[in-house]
Amino acid sequence: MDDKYIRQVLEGDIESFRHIVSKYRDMSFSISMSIVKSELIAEEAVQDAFVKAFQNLEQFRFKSSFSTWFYKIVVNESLRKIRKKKIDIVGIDPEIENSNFNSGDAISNLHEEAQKEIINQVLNLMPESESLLLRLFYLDENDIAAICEITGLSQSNSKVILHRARKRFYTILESTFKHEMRTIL
Amino acid sequence: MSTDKLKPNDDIAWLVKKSMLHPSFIDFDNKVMQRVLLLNTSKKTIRKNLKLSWLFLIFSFLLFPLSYFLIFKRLNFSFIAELGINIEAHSQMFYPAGVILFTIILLLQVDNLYRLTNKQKLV
Repeated sequence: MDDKYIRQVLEGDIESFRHIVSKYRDMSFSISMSIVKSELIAEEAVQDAFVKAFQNLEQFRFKSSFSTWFYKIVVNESLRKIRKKKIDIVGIDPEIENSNFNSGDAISNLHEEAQKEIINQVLNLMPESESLLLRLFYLDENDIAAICEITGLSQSNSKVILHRARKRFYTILESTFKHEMRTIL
Repeated sequence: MSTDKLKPNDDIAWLVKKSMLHPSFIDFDNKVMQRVLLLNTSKKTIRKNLKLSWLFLIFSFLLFPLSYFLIFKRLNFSFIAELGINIEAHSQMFYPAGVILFTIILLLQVDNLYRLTNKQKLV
């Protein structure tokens, strides 16, 4: 479906680009948020990424998936924004431990919006590479090869970061959840 | 209240699946499309102007030597003699000097246009 719209854009039907924008808007915003941790800057980065994708659409080879090609642009634009604005992202670095906290049980008892808020809070507190890989792997269901292409990381490095990210996710989730519960109670 | 509890191994997938974010700016799509349309318009204008520039450069390349030669032959250099300059001694220099100057200007223009054309192809 993407190919059809891309070909239409390349043939001069600019309005077809709107389909691409609405399809990739949310995922690319989530990817950018993993890196820049600020809604305002993420929106700016995603907008710039779409414009850049449009500018370079002629260079897109239909051999690979458009999402991989586009997410690579989103990642680069987000990293550029960080460098440009000199944002110092400090993810919290709790001691990663094997947690026996049953997140499924605890979280599933919460309202949908509350679940979403807590999970995004946790991802926001994680280092950018870890939250980015978690979102690419679990949210968009990219395989490791695609993740490597998007991020420029090696396969082994991606696997290590993903493994570390899973552990850190549960550790931060546990502390965030407990904190939230204390606030509610 | 959600009751869709999953196995521990699937927990993280289930949890991260809930982390999809949406831009808070309501008119996000329109804003992007506005920028894209603006870019497309300026790209078209630049391409059109580039084509015209190449066309005029080719015209000047063809027309200038001819007109220069004709004009040079018809020019009256008597005002130079009135300034006290020995025209006989310098007349041999004027024509080649004009040709060299024209060649330099032409090469500079070709270089500028070539760079601009390449830049447009990359954008």
